[in-house]
Amino acid sequence: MIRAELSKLVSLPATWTTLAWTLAANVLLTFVIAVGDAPVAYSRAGFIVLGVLATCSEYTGGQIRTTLTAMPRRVRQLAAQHAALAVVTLPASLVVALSGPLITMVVAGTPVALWQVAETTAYLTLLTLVSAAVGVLLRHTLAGVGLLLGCLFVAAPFVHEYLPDDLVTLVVSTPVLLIVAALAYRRRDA
Amino acid sequence: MWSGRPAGWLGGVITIDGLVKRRGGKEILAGIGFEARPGRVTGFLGPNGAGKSSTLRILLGLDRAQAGTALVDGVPYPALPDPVRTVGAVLDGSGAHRSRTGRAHLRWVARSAGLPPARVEEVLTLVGLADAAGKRVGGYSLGMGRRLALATALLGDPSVLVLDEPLNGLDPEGIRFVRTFLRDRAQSGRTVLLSSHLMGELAETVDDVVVIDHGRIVAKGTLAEVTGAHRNLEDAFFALTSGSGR
Repeated sequence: MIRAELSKLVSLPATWTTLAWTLAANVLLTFVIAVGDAPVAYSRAGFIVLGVLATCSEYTGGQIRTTLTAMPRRVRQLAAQHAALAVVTLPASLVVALSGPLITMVVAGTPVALWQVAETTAYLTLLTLVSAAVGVLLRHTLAGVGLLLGCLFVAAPFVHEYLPDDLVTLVVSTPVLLIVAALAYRRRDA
Repeated sequence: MWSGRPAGWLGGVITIDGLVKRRGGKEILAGIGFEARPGRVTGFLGPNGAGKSSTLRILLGLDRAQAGTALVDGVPYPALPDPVRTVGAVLDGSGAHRSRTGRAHLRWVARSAGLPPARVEEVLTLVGLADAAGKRVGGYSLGMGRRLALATALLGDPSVLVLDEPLNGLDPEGIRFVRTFLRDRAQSGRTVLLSSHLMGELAETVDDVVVIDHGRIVAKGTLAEVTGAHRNLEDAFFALTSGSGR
Protein backbone atom coordinates (compact mmCIF):
# COMPACT_ATOMS: atom_id res chain seq x y z
CA MET A 1 0.00 0.00 0.00
CA ILE A 2 2.85 2.37 0.82
CA ARG A 3 4.40 1.49 -2.54
CA ALA A 4 1.16 2.38 -4.31
CA GLU A 5 0.96 5.69 -2.44
CA LEU A 6 4.61 6.42 -3.18
CA SER A 7 4.05 5.70 -6.85
CA LYS A 8 1.06 8.06 -6.76
CA LEU A 9 3.06 10.84 -5.12
CA VAL A 10 6.13 10.67 -7.35
CA SER A 11 4.09 10.44 -10.57
CA LEU A 12 2.36 13.72 -9.73
CA PRO A 13 4.32 16.48 -11.48
CA ALA A 14 3.16 19.02 -8.89
CA THR A 15 5.20 17.19 -6.23
CA TRP A 16 8.43 17.90 -8.07
CA THR A 17 7.61 21.44 -9.18
CA THR A 18 6.65 22.36 -5.61
CA LEU A 19 9.90 20.93 -4.22
CA ALA A 20 12.01 22.57 -6.93
CA TRP A 21 10.44 25.99 -6.33
CA THR A 22 10.78 25.62 -2.58
CA LEU A 23 14.48 24.86 -2.80
CA ALA A 24 15.04 27.64 -5.35
CA ALA A 25 13.21 30.15 -3.14
CA ASN A 26 15.19 29.06 -0.10
CA VAL A 27 18.54 29.43 -1.85
CA LEU A 28 17.56 32.82 -3.25
CA LEU A 29 16.33 34.06 0.12
CA THR A 30 19.54 32.91 1.77
CA PHE A 31 21.49 35.23 -0.52
CA VAL A 32 19.05 38.06 0.18
CA ILE A 33 18.72 37.67 3.95
CA ALA A 34 22.02 35.82 4.30
CA VAL A 35 21.61 34.34 7.75
CA GLY A 36 21.66 30.53 8.00
CA ASP A 37 18.24 28.94 8.17
CA ALA A 38 16.20 32.16 8.56
CA PRO A 39 14.77 31.84 5.00
CA VAL A 40 12.99 28.65 6.07
CA ALA A 41 10.49 30.93 7.83
CA TYR A 42 9.27 31.77 4.31
CA SER A 43 10.14 28.72 2.25
CA ARG A 44 8.21 26.46 4.67
CA ALA A 45 5.18 27.67 2.67
CA GLY A 46 6.34 25.26 -0.05
CA PHE A 47 6.06 22.31 2.32
CA ILE A 48 2.55 23.41 3.25
CA VAL A 49 1.63 23.32 -0.44
CA LEU A 50 3.26 19.89 -0.82
CA GLY A 51 1.33 18.43 2.11
CA VAL A 52 -2.03 19.85 1.12
CA LEU A 53 -1.52 18.77 -2.50
CA ALA A 54 -0.68 15.21 -1.49
CA THR A 55 -4.13 14.65 -0.01
CA CYS A 56 -6.28 17.17 -1.93
CA SER A 57 -5.11 15.89 -5.33
CA GLU A 58 -7.28 12.83 -4.56
CA TYR A 59 -10.28 15.01 -5.26
CA THR A 60 -9.23 15.88 -8.81
CA GLY A 61 -10.79 13.82 -11.58
CA GLY A 62 -12.56 11.56 -9.11
CA GLN A 63 -9.30 9.83 -8.18
CA ILE A 64 -10.57 9.31 -4.61
CA ARG A 65 -13.05 6.72 -5.94
CA THR A 66 -10.24 4.79 -7.60
CA THR A 67 -8.17 5.00 -4.41
CA LEU A 68 -10.97 3.79 -2.14
CA THR A 69 -12.15 0.99 -4.43
CA ALA A 70 -8.56 -0.28 -4.74
CA MET A 71 -7.75 0.24 -1.04
CA PRO A 72 -11.09 0.25 0.78
CA ARG A 73 -9.65 0.02 4.29
CA ARG A 74 -9.57 3.74 4.67
CA VAL A 75 -7.53 4.30 7.80
CA ARG A 76 -4.78 2.00 6.52
CA GLN A 77 -4.80 3.72 3.13
CA LEU A 78 -4.59 7.15 4.77
CA ALA A 79 -1.74 5.98 6.99
CA ALA A 80 0.08 4.62 3.91
CA GLN A 81 -0.43 7.93 2.14
CA HIS A 82 1.09 9.88 5.03
CA ALA A 83 3.94 7.40 5.35
CA ALA A 84 4.72 7.79 1.64
CA LEU A 85 4.60 11.56 2.05
CA ALA A 86 7.06 11.35 4.93
CA VAL A 87 9.40 9.18 2.83
CA VAL A 88 9.48 11.86 0.12
CA THR A 89 9.49 14.85 2.48
CA LEU A 90 12.22 13.82 4.90
CA PRO A 91 15.11 13.95 2.40
CA ALA A 92 13.60 17.02 0.72
CA SER A 93 13.39 18.81 4.09
CA LEU A 94 16.98 17.87 4.82
CA VAL A 95 18.16 19.34 1.52
CA VAL A 96 16.23 22.57 2.09
CA ALA A 97 17.28 22.80 5.75
CA LEU A 98 20.91 22.24 4.80
CA SER A 99 20.95 24.60 1.82
CA GLY A 100 20.86 27.86 3.83
CA PRO A 101 23.57 27.00 6.40
CA LEU A 102 25.78 25.52 3.64
CA ILE A 103 25.62 28.70 1.59
CA THR A 104 26.30 30.79 4.70
CA MET A 105 29.31 28.57 5.47
CA VAL A 106 30.74 28.93 1.97
CA VAL A 107 30.10 32.68 1.78
CA ALA A 108 30.77 33.79 5.36
CA GLY A 109 32.69 30.85 6.80
CA THR A 110 30.11 30.26 9.59
CA PRO A 111 30.14 26.57 10.54
CA VAL A 112 26.97 24.54 9.94
CA ALA A 113 25.03 23.95 13.15
CA LEU A 114 24.06 20.31 12.63
CA TRP A 115 21.62 20.21 15.53
CA GLN A 116 19.75 23.17 14.05
CA VAL A 117 19.63 21.50 10.61
CA ALA A 118 18.12 18.40 12.21
CA GLU A 119 15.55 20.51 14.03
CA THR A 120 14.58 22.34 10.85
CA THR A 121 14.30 19.03 8.95
CA ALA A 122 11.97 17.62 11.60
CA TYR A 123 9.97 20.85 11.65
CA LEU A 124 9.45 20.86 7.86
CA THR A 125 8.53 17.17 7.73
CA LEU A 126 5.96 17.50 10.52
CA LEU A 127 4.58 20.67 8.96
CA THR A 128 4.06 18.76 5.70
CA LEU A 129 2.20 15.96 7.50
CA VAL A 130 0.01 18.45 9.36
CA SER A 131 -0.75 20.13 6.02
CA ALA A 132 -1.73 16.78 4.53
CA ALA A 133 -4.11 16.16 7.45
CA VAL A 134 -5.67 19.61 6.97
CA GLY A 135 -6.02 18.74 3.27
CA VAL A 136 -7.94 15.58 4.21
CA LEU A 137 -10.31 17.62 6.36
CA LEU A 138 -10.92 20.42 3.84
CA ARG A 139 -10.66 18.48 0.54
CA HIS A 140 -9.79 21.73 -1.23
CA THR A 141 -6.20 22.74 -2.09
CA LEU A 142 -6.61 26.51 -2.06
CA ALA A 143 -8.69 26.52 1.11
CA GLY A 144 -6.15 24.28 2.84
CA VAL A 145 -3.10 26.29 1.79
CA GLY A 146 -4.89 29.55 2.62
CA LEU A 147 -5.90 28.40 6.07
CA LEU A 148 -2.43 27.10 6.93
CA LEU A 149 -0.62 30.17 5.64
CA GLY A 150 -3.08 32.33 7.57
CA CYS A 151 -2.38 30.37 10.74
CA LEU A 152 1.38 30.49 10.31
CA PHE A 153 1.93 34.03 9.07
CA VAL A 154 -1.04 35.95 10.47
CA ALA A 155 -2.35 34.19 13.58
CA ALA A 156 0.84 32.57 14.92
CA PRO A 157 2.71 35.84 15.71
CA PHE A 158 -0.19 36.90 17.97
CA VAL A 159 -0.41 33.69 19.97
CA HIS A 160 3.29 32.92 19.82
CA GLU A 161 4.07 33.91 23.40
CA TYR A 162 1.41 31.53 24.75
CA LEU A 163 2.75 28.56 22.82
CA PRO A 164 5.82 26.47 23.46
CA ASP A 165 8.62 26.26 20.91
CA ASP A 166 7.43 25.84 17.26
CA LEU A 167 8.78 22.32 16.97
CA VAL A 168 7.18 21.22 20.25
CA THR A 169 3.84 22.67 19.10
CA LEU A 170 4.10 20.63 15.90
CA VAL A 171 5.15 17.43 17.67
CA VAL A 172 1.95 17.69 19.72
CA SER A 173 -0.42 18.91 17.01
CA THR A 174 0.65 16.51 14.25
CA PRO A 175 -0.68 13.28 15.80
CA VAL A 176 -3.81 15.07 17.04
CA LEU A 177 -4.64 16.40 13.57
CA LEU A 178 -3.79 13.07 11.93
CA ILE A 179 -6.22 11.26 14.23
CA VAL A 180 -8.97 13.85 13.69
CA ALA A 181 -8.44 13.60 9.90
CA ALA A 182 -8.51 9.78 10.00
CA LEU A 183 -11.74 9.76 12.01
CA ALA A 184 -13.44 12.13 9.56
CA TYR A 185 -12.06 10.21 6.55
CA ARG A 186 -13.20 6.85 7.88
CA ARG A 187 -16.82 7.83 8.30
CA ARG A 188 -17.69 10.19 5.51
CA ASP A 189 -19.07 9.62 2.02
CA ALA A 190 -16.16 9.74 -0.40
CA MET B 1 -29.80 -21.46 -5.46
CA TRP B 2 -26.06 -22.16 -5.53
CA SER B 3 -26.14 -25.56 -3.94
CA GLY B 4 -22.79 -27.09 -4.79
CA ARG B 5 -20.61 -24.64 -6.66
CA PRO B 6 -19.94 -25.80 -10.21
CA ALA B 7 -16.35 -26.32 -11.33
CA GLY B 8 -14.69 -23.08 -12.37
CA TRP B 9 -17.12 -21.04 -10.27
CA LEU B 10 -15.70 -17.58 -10.02
CA GLY B 11 -18.02 -16.25 -7.35
CA GLY B 12 -19.28 -12.75 -7.63
CA VAL B 13 -22.85 -12.78 -6.37
CA ILE B 14 -24.01 -9.29 -5.52
CA THR B 15 -26.72 -9.17 -2.87
CA ILE B 16 -28.30 -5.85 -1.99
CA ASP B 17 -30.92 -5.77 0.73
CA GLY B 18 -32.99 -3.03 2.32
CA LEU B 19 -30.67 -0.12 1.51
CA VAL B 20 -31.79 3.19 2.96
CA LYS B 21 -29.89 6.40 2.29
CA ARG B 22 -30.88 9.86 3.47
CA ARG B 23 -28.96 12.96 2.60
CA GLY B 24 -29.90 16.36 4.00
CA GLY B 25 -33.28 15.12 5.22
CA LYS B 26 -34.12 13.76 1.78
CA GLU B 27 -34.61 10.04 1.31
CA ILE B 28 -32.56 8.98 -1.71
CA LEU B 29 -32.95 5.22 -1.27
CA ALA B 30 -36.02 3.78 0.44
CA GLY B 31 -35.19 0.11 0.92
CA ILE B 32 -33.43 -1.05 -2.24
CA GLY B 33 -32.96 -4.80 -2.66
CA PHE B 34 -31.93 -6.99 -5.59
CA GLU B 35 -29.39 -9.57 -6.67
CA ALA B 36 -26.93 -9.73 -9.57
CA ARG B 37 -25.67 -13.18 -10.46
CA PRO B 38 -22.61 -14.65 -12.19
CA GLY B 39 -22.92 -15.39 -15.88
CA ARG B 40 -25.48 -12.64 -16.39
CA VAL B 41 -25.56 -8.98 -17.30
CA THR B 42 -27.88 -7.18 -14.90
CA GLY B 43 -29.20 -3.81 -16.03
CA PHE B 44 -29.96 -1.37 -13.23
CA LEU B 45 -32.29 1.07 -14.91
CA GLY B 46 -33.96 4.25 -13.86
CA PRO B 47 -34.33 7.93 -14.67
CA ASN B 48 -31.64 10.40 -13.60
CA GLY B 49 -31.76 11.00 -9.86
CA ALA B 50 -33.59 7.72 -9.16
CA GLY B 51 -30.80 6.47 -6.88
CA LYS B 52 -28.73 4.30 -9.23
CA SER B 53 -25.37 5.92 -8.52
CA SER B 54 -26.05 6.10 -4.78
CA THR B 55 -26.78 2.37 -4.72
CA LEU B 56 -23.60 1.53 -6.64
CA ARG B 57 -21.49 3.85 -4.46
CA ILE B 58 -22.78 2.12 -1.33
CA LEU B 59 -22.08 -1.29 -2.91
CA LEU B 60 -18.48 -0.15 -3.54
CA GLY B 61 -18.01 1.14 0.00
CA LEU B 62 -17.71 4.76 -1.13
CA ASP B 63 -20.88 5.94 0.59
CA ARG B 64 -22.49 4.76 3.77
CA ALA B 65 -26.11 3.61 4.00
CA GLN B 66 -28.26 4.38 7.03
CA ALA B 67 -29.73 0.88 6.84
CA GLY B 68 -29.45 -2.30 4.79
CA THR B 69 -26.60 -4.31 3.34
CA ALA B 70 -24.75 -4.53 0.04
CA LEU B 71 -22.58 -7.63 -0.21
CA VAL B 72 -20.24 -9.29 -2.69
CA ASP B 73 -20.15 -13.05 -2.07
CA GLY B 74 -21.60 -12.34 1.37
CA VAL B 75 -18.97 -9.77 2.34
CA PRO B 76 -19.26 -5.96 2.49
CA TYR B 77 -16.91 -4.37 -0.06
CA PRO B 78 -14.46 -2.81 2.44
CA ALA B 79 -13.92 -6.26 3.99
CA LEU B 80 -13.05 -8.01 0.69
CA PRO B 81 -9.64 -9.66 1.06
CA ASP B 82 -8.58 -8.72 -2.48
CA PRO B 83 -10.88 -5.98 -3.84
CA VAL B 84 -9.02 -5.30 -7.12
CA ARG B 85 -9.19 -8.99 -8.13
CA THR B 86 -12.81 -9.32 -7.00
CA VAL B 87 -14.62 -6.22 -8.25
CA GLY B 88 -13.83 -3.76 -11.02
CA ALA B 89 -15.71 -0.47 -10.90
CA VAL B 90 -16.34 2.08 -13.63
CA LEU B 91 -17.96 5.24 -12.26
CA ASP B 92 -18.39 8.56 -14.05
CA GLY B 93 -15.28 10.26 -15.45
CA SER B 94 -11.85 8.68 -15.66
CA GLY B 95 -11.17 8.33 -11.92
CA ALA B 96 -7.66 9.61 -12.62
CA HIS B 97 -5.82 12.84 -11.78
CA ARG B 98 -5.48 14.97 -14.92
CA SER B 99 -1.75 15.64 -14.59
CA ARG B 100 -0.76 11.98 -14.40
CA THR B 101 -0.31 9.89 -17.53
CA GLY B 102 -2.74 7.07 -18.17
CA ARG B 103 0.06 4.56 -17.63
CA ALA B 104 1.16 6.13 -14.33
CA HIS B 105 -2.44 6.00 -13.10
CA LEU B 106 -2.77 2.30 -13.91
CA ARG B 107 0.64 1.60 -12.39
CA TRP B 108 -0.24 2.85 -8.92
CA VAL B 109 -3.51 0.94 -8.93
CA ALA B 110 -1.68 -2.20 -10.07
CA ARG B 111 0.87 -1.70 -7.31
CA SER B 112 -1.87 -1.42 -4.68
CA ALA B 113 -2.93 -4.96 -5.56
CA GLY B 114 0.54 -6.37 -6.17
CA LEU B 115 -0.08 -6.79 -9.91
CA PRO B 116 2.90 -6.73 -12.28
CA PRO B 117 3.53 -3.71 -14.57
CA ALA B 118 3.02 -6.04 -17.56
CA ARG B 119 -0.64 -6.27 -16.63
CA VAL B 120 -0.90 -2.48 -17.10
CA GLU B 121 0.25 -2.84 -20.70
CA GLU B 122 -2.23 -5.68 -21.25
CA VAL B 123 -5.26 -3.68 -20.17
CA LEU B 124 -4.07 -0.62 -22.11
CA THR B 125 -4.03 -2.73 -25.27
CA LEU B 126 -7.33 -4.37 -24.38
CA VAL B 127 -9.21 -1.05 -24.25
CA GLY B 128 -7.28 0.46 -27.17
CA LEU B 129 -5.37 3.08 -25.18
CA ALA B 130 -1.83 1.78 -25.77
CA ASP B 131 -0.90 4.73 -28.00
CA ALA B 132 -2.19 7.32 -25.53
CA ALA B 133 -0.73 5.69 -22.41
CA GLY B 134 2.12 8.20 -22.15
CA LYS B 135 -0.17 11.22 -22.48
CA ARG B 136 -1.54 13.09 -19.49
CA VAL B 137 -5.13 12.26 -18.62
CA GLY B 138 -6.01 15.97 -18.86
CA GLY B 139 -5.47 15.70 -22.61
CA TYR B 140 -7.83 12.74 -23.03
CA SER B 141 -11.20 12.98 -24.74
CA LEU B 142 -14.29 11.95 -22.79
CA GLY B 143 -14.26 8.57 -24.54
CA MET B 144 -10.57 8.01 -23.75
CA GLY B 145 -11.24 8.82 -20.10
CA ARG B 146 -13.98 6.19 -20.06
CA ARG B 147 -11.61 3.66 -21.63
CA LEU B 148 -9.03 4.42 -18.95
CA ALA B 149 -11.67 3.84 -16.27
CA LEU B 150 -12.52 0.50 -17.88
CA ALA B 151 -8.83 -0.43 -18.08
CA THR B 152 -8.50 0.36 -14.35
CA ALA B 153 -11.49 -1.84 -13.56
CA LEU B 154 -10.03 -4.74 -15.56
CA LEU B 155 -6.54 -4.67 -14.00
CA GLY B 156 -7.27 -7.48 -11.54
CA ASP B 157 -9.37 -9.49 -14.04
CA PRO B 158 -12.19 -9.36 -11.46
CA SER B 159 -15.15 -11.71 -11.20
CA VAL B 160 -17.52 -8.75 -10.89
CA LEU B 161 -17.81 -5.61 -12.99
CA VAL B 162 -19.87 -2.69 -11.70
CA LEU B 163 -20.43 0.08 -14.22
CA ASP B 164 -22.32 3.34 -13.76
CA GLU B 165 -23.68 4.61 -17.09
CA PRO B 166 -20.87 2.92 -19.06
CA LEU B 167 -22.16 4.08 -22.44
CA ASN B 168 -22.17 7.80 -21.57
CA GLY B 169 -19.71 9.80 -23.63
CA LEU B 170 -18.81 6.93 -25.94
CA ASP B 171 -18.88 7.11 -29.73
CA PRO B 172 -20.82 4.41 -31.65
CA GLU B 173 -17.67 2.32 -31.99
CA GLY B 174 -17.04 2.59 -28.25
CA ILE B 175 -20.63 1.63 -27.44
CA ARG B 176 -20.35 -1.44 -29.64
CA PHE B 177 -17.05 -2.37 -28.02
CA VAL B 178 -18.41 -2.07 -24.48
CA ARG B 179 -21.58 -4.03 -25.29
CA THR B 180 -19.69 -6.91 -26.88
CA PHE B 181 -17.14 -6.83 -24.12
CA LEU B 182 -19.73 -7.01 -21.33
CA ARG B 183 -21.55 -9.89 -23.05
CA ASP B 184 -18.24 -11.76 -23.28
CA ARG B 185 -17.56 -11.18 -19.58
CA ALA B 186 -20.94 -12.63 -18.64
CA GLN B 187 -20.42 -15.52 -21.06
CA SER B 188 -17.21 -16.43 -19.23
CA GLY B 189 -19.15 -16.76 -15.97
CA ARG B 190 -18.54 -13.34 -14.52
CA THR B 191 -21.05 -10.93 -13.00
CA VAL B 192 -21.83 -7.67 -14.76
CA LEU B 193 -23.96 -5.00 -13.11
CA LEU B 194 -24.48 -1.82 -15.07
CA SER B 195 -26.69 1.19 -14.56
CA SER B 196 -28.27 3.25 -17.29
CA HIS B 197 -31.03 5.73 -17.99
CA LEU B 198 -31.04 4.76 -21.67
CA MET B 199 -33.43 1.85 -22.17
CA GLY B 200 -33.14 1.41 -25.91
CA GLU B 201 -29.36 1.07 -25.71
CA LEU B 202 -29.55 -1.85 -23.35
CA ALA B 203 -32.23 -4.23 -24.48
CA GLU B 204 -29.75 -6.34 -26.46
CA THR B 205 -27.12 -6.36 -23.74
CA VAL B 206 -28.88 -7.30 -20.51
CA ASP B 207 -30.24 -10.63 -19.21
CA ASP B 208 -31.83 -9.35 -16.02
CA VAL B 209 -33.39 -6.00 -15.33
CA VAL B 210 -33.90 -4.03 -12.12
CA VAL B 211 -35.92 -0.84 -12.47
CA ILE B 212 -35.56 1.89 -9.85
CA ASP B 213 -37.59 5.08 -9.51
CA HIS B 214 -37.55 7.65 -6.67
CA GLY B 215 -35.35 5.38 -4.55
CA ARG B 216 -37.62 2.34 -4.83
CA ILE B 217 -37.44 -0.81 -6.93
CA VAL B 218 -40.47 -0.84 -9.21
CA ALA B 219 -39.68 -4.01 -11.15
CA LYS B 220 -37.10 -6.78 -11.31
CA GLY B 221 -36.72 -10.01 -13.22
CA THR B 222 -35.44 -11.32 -16.52
CA LEU B 223 -35.63 -9.02 -19.51
CA ALA B 224 -38.71 -10.91 -20.77
CA GLU B 225 -40.43 -10.77 -17.38
CA VAL B 226 -39.94 -7.04 -16.98
CA THR B 227 -40.84 -6.22 -20.56
CA GLY B 228 -43.97 -8.34 -20.11
CA ALA B 229 -46.89 -7.32 -22.27
CA HIS B 230 -45.21 -4.10 -23.36
CA ARG B 231 -43.87 -3.61 -26.85
CA ASN B 232 -40.29 -3.25 -25.62
CA LEU B 233 -38.19 -2.46 -22.55
CA GLU B 234 -38.48 1.26 -23.15
CA ASP B 235 -42.29 1.18 -23.12
CA ALA B 236 -42.26 -1.00 -20.02
CA PHE B 237 -39.90 1.43 -18.36
CA PHE B 238 -42.09 4.45 -18.99
CA ALA B 239 -45.17 2.60 -17.82
CA LEU B 240 -43.37 1.50 -14.64
CA THR B 241 -41.87 4.89 -13.82
CA SER B 242 -45.08 6.74 -14.75
CA GLY B 243 -43.23 8.80 -17.31
CA SER B 244 -40.91 10.44 -14.80
CA GLY B 245 -37.95 9.39 -16.94
CA ARG B 246 -36.97 11.49 -19.88
